[in-house]
Amino acid sequence: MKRYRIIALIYAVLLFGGLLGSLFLTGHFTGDYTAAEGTPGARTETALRQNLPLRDALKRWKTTLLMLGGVQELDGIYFTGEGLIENLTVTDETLGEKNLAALQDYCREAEPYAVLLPSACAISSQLLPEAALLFDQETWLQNAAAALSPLCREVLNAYPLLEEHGNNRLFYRTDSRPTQLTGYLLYQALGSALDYFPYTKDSFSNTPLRYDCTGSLYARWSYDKVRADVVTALLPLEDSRSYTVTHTAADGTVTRWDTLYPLEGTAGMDCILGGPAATITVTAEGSIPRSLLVLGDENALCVIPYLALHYDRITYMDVTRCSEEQLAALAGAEYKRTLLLYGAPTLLNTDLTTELATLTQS
Amino acid sequence: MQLASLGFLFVLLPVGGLIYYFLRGAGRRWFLLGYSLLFVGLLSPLCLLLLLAVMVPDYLLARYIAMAHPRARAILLGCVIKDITLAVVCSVLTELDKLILPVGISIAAFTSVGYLIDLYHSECDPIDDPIRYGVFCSFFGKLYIGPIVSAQQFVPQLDDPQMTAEGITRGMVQYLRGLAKIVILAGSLQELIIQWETLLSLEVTILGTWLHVLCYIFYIYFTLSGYSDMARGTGAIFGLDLPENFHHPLQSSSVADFFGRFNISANRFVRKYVYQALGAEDNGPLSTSVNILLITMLMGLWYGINLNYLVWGAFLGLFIIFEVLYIERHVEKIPPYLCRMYTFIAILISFCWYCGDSLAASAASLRVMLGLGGAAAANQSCLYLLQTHWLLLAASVFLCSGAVSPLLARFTRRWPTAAHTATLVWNLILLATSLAFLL
Repeated sequence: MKRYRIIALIYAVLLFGGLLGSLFLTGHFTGDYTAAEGTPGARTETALRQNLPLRDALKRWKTTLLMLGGVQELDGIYFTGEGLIENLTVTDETLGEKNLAALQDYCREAEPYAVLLPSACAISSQLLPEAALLFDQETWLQNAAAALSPLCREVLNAYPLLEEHGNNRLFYRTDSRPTQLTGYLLYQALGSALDYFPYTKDSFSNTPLRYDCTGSLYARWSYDKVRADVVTALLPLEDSRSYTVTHTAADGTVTRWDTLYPLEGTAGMDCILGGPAATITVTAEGSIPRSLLVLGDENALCVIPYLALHYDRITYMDVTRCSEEQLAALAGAEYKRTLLLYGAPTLLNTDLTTELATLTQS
Repeated sequence: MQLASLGFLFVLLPVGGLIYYFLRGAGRRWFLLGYSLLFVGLLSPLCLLLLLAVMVPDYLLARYIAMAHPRARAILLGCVIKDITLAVVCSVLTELDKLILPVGISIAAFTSVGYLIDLYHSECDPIDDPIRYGVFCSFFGKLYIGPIVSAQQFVPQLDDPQMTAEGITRGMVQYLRGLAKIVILAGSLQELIIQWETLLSLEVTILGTWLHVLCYIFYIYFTLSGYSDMARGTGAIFGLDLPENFHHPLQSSSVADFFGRFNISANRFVRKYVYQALGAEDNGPLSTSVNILLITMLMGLWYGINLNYLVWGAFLGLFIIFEVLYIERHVEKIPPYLCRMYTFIAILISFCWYCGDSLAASAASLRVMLGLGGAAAANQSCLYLLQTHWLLLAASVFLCSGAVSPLLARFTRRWPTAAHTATLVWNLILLATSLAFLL
């Protein structure tokens, strides 16, 4: 009887401990409950999920257990021995076609330059299991580039370029974003199209910005054997320009830094231009007085710091994050050039049609 | 809030348990009813309304059946038709994707139907107290998959339900076992099934089709038996004893035995109220065959109003007819392992019907499984999935085999203290792992 009492007490302590720990340890329970959507039951579940004591340790335990069982892919993310690569799964191929059609409509009006970027799983497919089911990005990007070519000033399908440099670290180990090296390769390739002479690599020094960074993939699959990233940037050896980076969120909130690589107020890979935002305006005092509009996804962030060496004003817009007012307010004619830079995952899995239609009309 | 959720485990269960601990007698019954209705209401207000639509009229009309009113038969018939129609309509609407299956309606409806029929035949005493009747029909633990309990079995326990340390310990062990079955095994198997389906949509292979069906069986078994274990566990915590609903069905020695071990309470219900009423096996081979087919098809429809489930039941029914008419008298001469092997293969093949989207798709899968479709034996993707999920499949086979209980019993007999400590540690690991999968 005494034994049962002790065991029952242990269970009671664990259950009440879990409840009280969730309520009071992090201090975010009420906020998470309020922010969550759905029925009170669903909101409680969300808040508990985000505040349960030992949450991270439990998640690591799950990963370790799955890896012991032979699992190499979790939630579409492959573990490659030291890093993580997200598989591109396409559930609805018509979405990609619709996005392409919307881009074509926009291109007819704006005659932009375009860059189409593959994701890490296409470039580093040799690191994935042979039997992994991969979407054929190479063919899709070829077809997409062919569809956009007649309507754009120039289209760069980055697949062959990145494949050629596939031995280098073109994407982070713990995040889907491309590294600054990928940005530099694009910068070089875009020189003639965007009318500048790219600086050679000798003009830059590869400088570590932040050590032990973990990105969004690691947040979804935290596994001890994944190596953290070092975020580096190719900084010009001589640069007298002064930069201002301004983020404007969809709700109008403005954040400003006077560097291209803000370490304060940012975390992880966001030290490149302060991370993704609805609009980012980069002004480079001392650069040639001309402007560039970049419409793209977060892949574009890697190349903008290099483009700022040749443009004194660059405006980046992620249409999926922008408010309707921001989209409507954009006057494309203000910019000397427009560059579209999208990764295959965005074009295939995110609906851009409404936002692009708004831009086309404006 | 689901039974297998953090909200239930860390909010409803401990808070409810604490309040229940300080209540006595009628207070506990009131609490159980209120708690069950709250649980259902948190799942969906529609569920709560449907549950009340089952319980309230049945309770009010039961007294006329109990007092042998001249129209008792008509009242009984009306209640039975109402409850079954409600359950069937919900099931059909769910199949048509017009409704998310309201949890507990079928179980509450069949519990109530069983009670009313027993009452009509004077096989149980009337339940005068609406609170007892409410708890009997709607006890939250059993609403998912049962067990369906009879009034004789359940209602006397409500006189003075005791919350004891032993009950809490036993209940937590059963609850955690059920939780682990659902979130660790069934959840992982569900993901694996999706991967098999993607793979088979690209290239059909014999090995892939067999493994897809095998995973489906494990998934269904762990989901249903998991909910059943959680029902028994929550019952034990609150001082109520619920019967076992799944007893290692994949270890059965015949298909008839499988039916007796798989969803035991539903099977008993159909046997008692349909099979026996039809004359069981008393009217010759033809009548026996028809009756068996009828109840196996009904058992198929128990899992949803769907043609595939009906054929699944009929398919197994044919095996049972064959067993009853031809094998039963020779069964002692057949080695037990052969019986088990035959049963397992028959069940495996039958699940082709259960897991198919349509009869045509199921028939095509069956042809592939039997090597008649001209499909390749295996491909690299198939072997990759096997290689990356070997532990899950091995654990599923081991836990389905029923080898754990005898081993544990032997260990407990020899080293009781060590066994209890090991069981506690194992259950704490199960809790941590289940939580990790719930996050």
